[in-house]
Formats: sequence, structure tokens, C-alpha cells
Amino acid sequence: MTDHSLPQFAVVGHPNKGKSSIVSTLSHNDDVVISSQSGTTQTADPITVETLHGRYQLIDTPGFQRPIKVLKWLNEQQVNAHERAAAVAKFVDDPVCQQQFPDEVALLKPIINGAAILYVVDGSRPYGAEYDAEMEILRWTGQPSMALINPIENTDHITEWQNALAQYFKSVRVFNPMKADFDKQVELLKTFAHLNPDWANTLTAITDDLVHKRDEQRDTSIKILARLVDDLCHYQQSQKVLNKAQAKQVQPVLEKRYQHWMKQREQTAIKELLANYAHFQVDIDLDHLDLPPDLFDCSEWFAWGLNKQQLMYAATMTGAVGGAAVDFALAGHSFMLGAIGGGLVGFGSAWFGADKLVDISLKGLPLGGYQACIGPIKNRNFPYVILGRFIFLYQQISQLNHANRTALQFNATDFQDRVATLEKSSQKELHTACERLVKQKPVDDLESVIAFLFD
Amino acid sequence: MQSSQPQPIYKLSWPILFTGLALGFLLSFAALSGDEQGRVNVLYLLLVFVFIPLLSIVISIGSLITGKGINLARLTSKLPILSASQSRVLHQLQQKRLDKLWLFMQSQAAALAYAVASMLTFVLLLLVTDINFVWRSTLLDASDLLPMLNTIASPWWFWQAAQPDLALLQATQDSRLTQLTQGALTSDPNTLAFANWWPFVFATLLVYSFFARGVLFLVTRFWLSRQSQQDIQTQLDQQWQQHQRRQPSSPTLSDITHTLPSHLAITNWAGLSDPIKQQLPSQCRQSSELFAGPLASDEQQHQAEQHSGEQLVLVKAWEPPMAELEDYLKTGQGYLLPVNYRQHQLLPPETQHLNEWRRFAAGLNQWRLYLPEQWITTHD
Ligand SMILES: Nc1nc2c(ncn2[C@@H]2O[C@H](COP(=O)(O)OP(=O)(O)OP(=O)(O)O)[C@@H](O)[C@H]2O)c(=O)[nH]1
Ligand SMILES: [Mg+2]
Repeated sequence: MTDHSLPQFAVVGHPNKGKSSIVSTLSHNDDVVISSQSGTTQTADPITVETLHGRYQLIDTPGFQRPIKVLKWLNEQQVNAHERAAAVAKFVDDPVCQQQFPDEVALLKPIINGAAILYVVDGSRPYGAEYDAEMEILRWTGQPSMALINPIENTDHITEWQNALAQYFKSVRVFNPMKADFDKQVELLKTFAHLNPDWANTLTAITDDLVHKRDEQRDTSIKILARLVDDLCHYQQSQKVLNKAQAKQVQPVLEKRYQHWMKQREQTAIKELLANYAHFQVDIDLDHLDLPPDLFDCSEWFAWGLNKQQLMYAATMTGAVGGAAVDFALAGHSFMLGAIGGGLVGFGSAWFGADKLVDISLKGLPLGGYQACIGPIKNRNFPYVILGRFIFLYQQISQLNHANRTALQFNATDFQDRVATLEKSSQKELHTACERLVKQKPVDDLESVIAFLFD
Repeated sequence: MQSSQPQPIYKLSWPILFTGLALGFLLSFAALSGDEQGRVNVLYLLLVFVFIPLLSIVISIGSLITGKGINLARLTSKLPILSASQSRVLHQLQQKRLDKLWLFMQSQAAALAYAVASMLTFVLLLLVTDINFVWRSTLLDASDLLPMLNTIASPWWFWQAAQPDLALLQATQDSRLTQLTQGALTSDPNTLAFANWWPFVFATLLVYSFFARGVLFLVTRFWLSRQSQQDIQTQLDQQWQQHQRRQPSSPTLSDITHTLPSHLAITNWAGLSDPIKQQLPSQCRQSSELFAGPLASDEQQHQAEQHSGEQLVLVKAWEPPMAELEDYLKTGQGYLLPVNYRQHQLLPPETQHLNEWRRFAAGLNQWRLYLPEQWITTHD
């Protein structure tokens, strides 16, 4: 028994033309198996997309394997036009056909059961008459249908395909499952509503829900980052020691543990971000994910956090240094251009220090002995570095299509531009929050402060 | 997703517990030790065993719901006595906005410690000293007090011995004046009555300190676990655990041969046009040509299937090998040549397409994959 009010779409076509990719991207589900091997999908697998107000199914199917013979079988039934759908139903139910044409039976069955047809072709290679048999078989089913041209390698043959497909399909769209952004995906879903008027309301509700969900995912990303930056700015690694000499001894161990914890914490946040966008198969080697630069390689920090000039603005905005000193330094910056090295008089290394990130500190304990502590990092740029790296990943992961299983790329960032284009008031809020973080003071509205960076 | 450090959020905080315990001992001892005659004012006891616990429940619940959550635990946590790991837990809970609930739970634990201390003190003093329960008041008399005590005792209505009654109240009303006039208490006929209060006091402790706090503690613990389950980080972590990462499959690929025998029939499975065929290397352009595949007529297909000699089957490189072709290949033998072209210009096949044909050929016994020598440079 099938529920006819449930919108169902069978994604069919030649093998290896991106059927599973389209299902994966549209359903935001990377459990769908995609592979360069043809014949990867061997059974019709329904993927249910469920939102608050409705659900629909995309059915991933095996590709046509013997369309010529199947069409021949159908033609041998010698039926009139009005009996064609019944002939296909008979084909699907015929035990001999089930054995001889397992792929076609599997892909036609959901269509006979009421699914609409999404026929996928590759727009980068020429149309050939060998495709006619498939399209003809689909026409026999009499089900509502739409053709999707997937420009796998390029768009060279799209027009040619459009002309050919128009012979069989009322509606022809170009859709690239690897590149189509969220808006394009929603746009396509909306056109599905035209295939069957009974489904229109459900599909509209679902697309609205999806847009809403996308906002929620963004909010969750903000939450993940707020917690990450808060944790990293607070973390401390400590150990009891008897005297100062012992403290020196344990320092390397503490430092190592400290760094390990910090990196681990960042990776956890990245995994959370991936899970938030339902990416579970993305190929990033999380164990070796030292984004360039490494979190602890502060010589390259300016690529990720703020640049010197921005740091100086931050310093004045939060009142950390006198305005005159900044004016002087900025003048120096613009006149001497790159000439300012590390020797900026008047600015403690806390603002620019690429020297030493964390120092060991000793606290006397009431019962004798000392507590040796590493961390937290006092460098003013540190929170910005965390923010910058995460925002960069966020941009990639939130835009990543579920059909795209290639490894994530880590390149330069535009974090500094992003900060620079913030409203002055938002900038000030951000700088004040970061200043408080570095000073271990609580920041209550951290999420709303960093939210601007996600726009 | 291995979380950076699993922190036990249900672990009780010793400093907070200890504060409760100490307060319990201190207040109960103060209330129970009485005067030199061992006389203990029941009304003071009610203050320590009923009023303070109830008031603190009201305050902490009230502020849990409306305010910042003022309670014993929050006050204690302000002192620098929490351990580093506990401070970290508290920090994490703050991020999750669960600190209020956690402190509330810790407060219930502290109140339980308070109850334990009170109970211990009470039982200990009952055992080793004679406690004479009395009550004193300037304004109230026994009949005024009874309704209030009855209300307090209503939760244990079934325990008769622990119910206050008017006679007991009247018998144990005390005034410093009677003390002076009547002299030593031992001669008093009511001496036994002074001890009769203990079941009431005991029940009071049990219900208002132990039971109420125990229930609150369990409810809060449950609520806290639910809330932390629903926290987004926990949810995402669970989703990550639920998804198995798939390992990419690595199929066996056939070898590629670059030589052809001199006598071959060319089978144009792909329906290649003449201009394309003419660009093929000479050894691939032999005189006898067969026609099979999706574009062949039944007659041509039949003829090709009957051919017994070796064939070179021309296929489109970018099209995946289909079962239709496989069916055809079952009856014959020879070579497969994947042909790639763009804009009528012949090109070597692309690697990913070639690999697909190599995978296909690896499963065929009578067929080998052929590629002209001049096409291979790009693939090795
Ligand atoms: N570059 C690029 N590759 C694509 C695109 N669509 C699909 N592919 C690749 O084409 C191959 C086949 O994709 P699938 O989605 O598995 O194709 P399918 O039609 O489901 O294949 P079968 O299940 O074997 O019938 C995979 O290697 C995809 O990565 C695209 O738009 N661009
Ligand atoms: Mg597939």
C-alpha cells in the first residue's frame, strides 16, 4: 500500500549520471552512496525528508541497464495508448521480467506505485539516440515527469539535450548537484510542486521549513563557536609541584597536554559543525587537521586573526591603550608602511606578541608546594584567531553540497575584511567581548556579539 | 566525536556538601543542647527542622524559576573552594545555561547533608543525654499552638505516637517561673511527657528535611540529565556517533593491452560516425565491420551475435558499461576500445572513465581492454 498524499519522486536515468548525487544534495543526506563506479545503486532506496510540517520522498534508483530489450518487451504486448501504464505494471509484476531485468523492475516499481519521475542526464556529453528507449519507457508509465540536466563536466551540450528532452518531458531544468547552492535547491523543490497539484501544499510547507531550518543551523553554528572560543580562552592545565625546579621540569609536559587539549577542543567544534550540517562522510582527516597555520604557530597569526592595524583599533576602542599612542603608531603604519616590525613601542607584546604564547605560572598552595599552571593564552589576538578559523570553516561547510564528497580545502581567509565591514558598534562589541575573554571575565551575550560575523 | 573531556555533571561537590553538613551540625546542636537541665524548646527545634528547611526550599525554588537562582550552592561557589575540575564543570554548565539547575541540585544535596547532620545530632543526643522537650511562649497557649502543630504533623497522620495532642502540650509548657517554684524537675509527674515529644520531632526531621529534599534532589537530577541530553552539543555528538563512516571501495582493474591481432572484426557498438572512425589508428579500421548495440537493427544485432571470430568493440568512453553490452559480450571474444571525442575531435579517454572500463573488463574472461599506444601517455 502506498500513501498517495506523500509526495514521491523517483530519480531515474542512465547509470552513473548523478542520480544518487541529486538525491543526496536535495535531501541533505550524505549517507546516500555515490561512486564513480556505475551500477552503484542496485535497489530503489527511498530517502525521506521530514520537516516540521510535512515530508516527502526521493527515491534513488538503479540506472537503466537493458532499456532496448525492455522496450521491446513492452511493444510486444501490443496495447493501445490507454493500456500502456498497465503494460508497465504487468512488466513490473512479471516474475520472468523480474529475473531478466532486475534494474528496470526496481526503478519502474516506485513509478507504477505513484512516484513522479525525475529523469537525469549528463549535459556535458552529447545526446544520443540510445537514450530514446529509456525516455520512451518512462513515457509509457504516464506519470508526471521532469527532466534534470546535470552538467557534470561542463555545459557544452545543454541546448542539445534541452531540445531532445522536450520531446518527452514538459519540464526540463538544469541542476548541478555538486554546485547548486541552497537557494537553487529550494527553487528546484518549488518546481516539483507543479508536478502534482495534490502535493503542492505539502511541498510549499516543506520548503518553508527548510528555509527556517537553515536559519536554525546558523544559530547553532554561532552557539558552537561561542562555546569554543569561551573554552579556549579559559582553559588552563595545571599540576602540583614541590618547588620551582620541578615546575621547570613539568613545563614541557604541561605545555604538550595544554596544546593537545586545545586542538582537540577545536576539532570537536569542527565535528559539531559538520554534524550540524549533516555532513558525516566528508573526507577531512580530523586527526591531522592543522589548519594552516597551526593553532600554535603564532608567526602566521595575522593571517587568521586581526592584522596589526585592526588590533590597534581594537585597543583604542576598548580603551586598553591611550589614543595618542595609537595615532602615533597608525601614522607610523601608513607612512612607513611595512617598516614597522615587531618593535612597536608602547604596545606590549600582549597585542602582537608572536613570541611566547603561554608561560608557566606558579601559585603557592595553602598546604605547601606549588600549583604549576599553563594557560590561558593572554595574547589579545587569540580570540580573533579562533573566530577567524571557525568562520572560515563555517563558510565552507555550510555551503558544501551533500553530493560533494571531496576533501575540504583550507585556504586563506577573509576574516579581516569581515571584521572591517562590520558596523562600528558591532566592532566595538566584538572587541570588548574579546578583551573580556582574554581577561577571563564572563561574556554573557557572546552569541549575539559574534552573530554578525555569520552574515 | 570524542568530547574534549567528559565531565561528570552529576558528581556532588564536596565543598558544597560539607557546608550543608557543617550548618546542620551547628544549628541542630545549638537547638538540641538546651539548658543545663536538658530542656529543649520545641519551638526552636521547629525553627531549625521545619522553618529553615521550608524557607530555603521556597527561596531556592522561587529564584530558580524567576531569578538567577540564589541558593546555598551558588553562595558557596563564590568562595574559592571549588576544585579546578568542578569550576570547569560549572563553566561548561554556564555555557549550556544549566548552571542554575546544577547549583540547585547541589543545594538539595547540601540540604540532605544538613538533614543527615541534624538527624545524627538528634539521635546521638537522644541516646546519650536526656532531652526534655518543653515549649515556652508569652503570648500563645497550648490550644493556640495545637492547630499549627497538627498542620505540621499532617503528612504522617498514620503515625499516632508522633502526633501532637493537647494533653502533651499542656503537660510540657514550661516557664522559668514554675522552674523556680517547683524546684527539681525529677519530682515532676510530667517528666515522662517531656520525652514524649521525640517521635514528633523525629518525624518532622524525616519529612521536612529528608523526604522533601530527597524528592527535590531526584527530580532535579532527572531534569538536569534531560536538559543536558537535549543540549545541542550532546545532540550533535550523538548524531556523529550514529553515522558510520564508509570506507571507499577499491575494485580490481584489468590491465590494458596496446597490441591487436591482425584479423579482427570491428563492432561499432557506440554507433560512431564515419568522421570519428577515420581518426582512429589504422589497426582499428579494418575491413569487416559489425553493427550491434542500442542503435543496431535486430538483423544487424543477430548477425553480430553469430560472429565467431575475435572482435574489437568500439564503445563511448564516457558512457558507463551497461548490462546490454555485457549480455552481448557473453557470446563472443576479443577487445574493447573506449573512444572519447569532443566536437568531433578524437581524444584519449579520461582517467575516471578509463578506470570504469578497466573495472568492467576485469570481470570478463574472453575480453581485454585495448588502448592504442599513442593514447597512453596521459594515463601513466
Ligand atoms: N564533477 C561532477 N561530478 C559529478 C556530478 N554529478 C555526479 N558526479 C560524479 O559522477 C559519479 C556518479 O555519480 P552518482 O550520483 O553515483 O551517479 P548515479 O547515477 O547514482 O550512478 P549509479 O548508481 O551507478 O547508477 C560520481 O563520481 C559523482 O561524483 C557533477 O555535477 N559534477
Ligand atoms: Mg546511484
